[in-house]
Amino acid sequence: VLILLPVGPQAASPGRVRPHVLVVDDDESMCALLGAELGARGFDPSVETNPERVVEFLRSRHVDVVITDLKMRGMDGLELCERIAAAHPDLPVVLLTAHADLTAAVAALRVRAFDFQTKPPDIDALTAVLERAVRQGRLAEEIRVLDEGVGGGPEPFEGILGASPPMRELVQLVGRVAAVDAAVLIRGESGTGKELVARALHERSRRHNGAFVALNCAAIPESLLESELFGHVRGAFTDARADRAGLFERARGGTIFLDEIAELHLSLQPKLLRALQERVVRPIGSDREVEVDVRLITATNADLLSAVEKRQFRADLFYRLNVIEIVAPPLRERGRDVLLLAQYFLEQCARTMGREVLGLTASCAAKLTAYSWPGNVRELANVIERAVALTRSSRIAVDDLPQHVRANDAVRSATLASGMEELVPLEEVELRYIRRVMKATGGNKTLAAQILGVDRRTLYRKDWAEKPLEPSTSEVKVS
Amino acid sequence: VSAADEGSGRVIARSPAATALLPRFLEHRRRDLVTLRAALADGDFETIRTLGHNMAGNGTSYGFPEMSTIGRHLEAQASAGDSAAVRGQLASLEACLERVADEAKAREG
Repeated sequence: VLILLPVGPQAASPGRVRPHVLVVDDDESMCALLGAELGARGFDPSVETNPERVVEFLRSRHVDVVITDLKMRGMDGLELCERIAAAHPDLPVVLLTAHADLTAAVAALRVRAFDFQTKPPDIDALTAVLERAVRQGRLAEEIRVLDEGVGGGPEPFEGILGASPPMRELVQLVGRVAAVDAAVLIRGESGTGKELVARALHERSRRHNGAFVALNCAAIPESLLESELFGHVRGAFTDARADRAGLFERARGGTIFLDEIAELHLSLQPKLLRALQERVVRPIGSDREVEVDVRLITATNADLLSAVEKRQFRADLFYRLNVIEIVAPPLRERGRDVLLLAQYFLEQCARTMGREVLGLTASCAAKLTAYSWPGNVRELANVIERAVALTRSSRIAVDDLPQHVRANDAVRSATLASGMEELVPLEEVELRYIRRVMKATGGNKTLAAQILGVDRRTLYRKDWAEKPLEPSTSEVKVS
Repeated sequence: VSAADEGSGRVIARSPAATALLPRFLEHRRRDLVTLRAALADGDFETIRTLGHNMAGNGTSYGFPEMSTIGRHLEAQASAGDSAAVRGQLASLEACLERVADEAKAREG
């Protein structure tokens, strides 16, 4: 096997995440001994003497591999193995049996155990099995994640990331609207990325070499906002010690983005309207008008039309601003974009914090997609940043999420074909995974190599996409 | 003690972790002996079978194959409901625990 992922005890050097192994045995002495031995060999061990508590434990903690005794009071290892397989199909389970006979082997296969070892275990052999199990479990989960469309997602469009139908529509609209030098009103809840859309419009417009100036109308007092927008001359007011150009002048040839436009005071609305209609502004205290050449993009999370009806916002300005309307969809309507974005933020944070966090567990992904995200993408980014900082594992688990996200019961659990129903050799798992990544990346070997964490040349040695899966692993080795 | 048992002592028995855990291990086995005697008096062969099974697994793991052999016998005799044989094994276990305690002291020293 050429491609080995950096997992297992050899990865337990400083800065690496130790694989979490759960030891299940109703004999406390065996639990303690195995836990201590595996801990000394680079694993992060947890022990459980009551097999009936294991499923509950796995709901709240990410575990890389389970090792369980076969004969236990309350629930035997085979039943436990079946329960784990039902709830966590990617989680490998190693059975410990008193006698390594054919009956035990068949039983282990029947419950889809990863392997079985005899008691007392040869700790070196057991360690090797656990390393393989961890590696296969992570690969299987990667395959599942790719099946869910998380990995290998689309390239960001000017920083906008999303593959859901509403986001595809948004990106198409931005592409079309950018070329037209018309005013744009972006509507959307807080945290949906309205400024990102405005920037994308600017970057894709003929004005992209000009300035992009953003201003939040709610963040500046009315008295200062007029000066900020239109400028002032020396002596126009007490603190006006020198002439100062406003945003309309400073953004000449570029784009002005006014966020929270609904907060623009009524007294300023006619002046903004005039700037748009006449394309001139008059700085405070000046008797001359200044020509302006900017594109105005505005945004709001308020119902501007309702504000017009209540006479809180001028109708003529509303229609002037709303030449083209773009709606930034809330995250709850973006389906699996939640996972795409979570993975994106996760990688960013892991890089920044220097942490070895690779992805999400399946149950964590289910929680994230089930949550309604009232704070939208901004809230998701914060949740992921916190989780990357706190997690003790290579994958963010449910336990790493804040309570309000974790407590969401409306889990739309991912019911996806794993393609890993049968027990297959590691080589085959790797081959399938590589092919899956290649498919997901549209054959982009550079991107695929990044996801796989291997040198690009490794992928050039063979054309994975054309290589058929063989029943015998000896046929699919590459070297 | 069979040759097979002696041979299977290869594992973790002499590791620092096993040595560190020995006092607790012996304390648990002494407690098991009390539980086993009570179970025999009550005719509770299921408890004897379970504890025998566990002893079979953990004895050799801690470096005491003789204890594993006794555990296996207890498991089999409990399954057969053979009180007399179990009583004999418990006497063997008591003697074994004394020897093991001495050996444990030697290991720690």
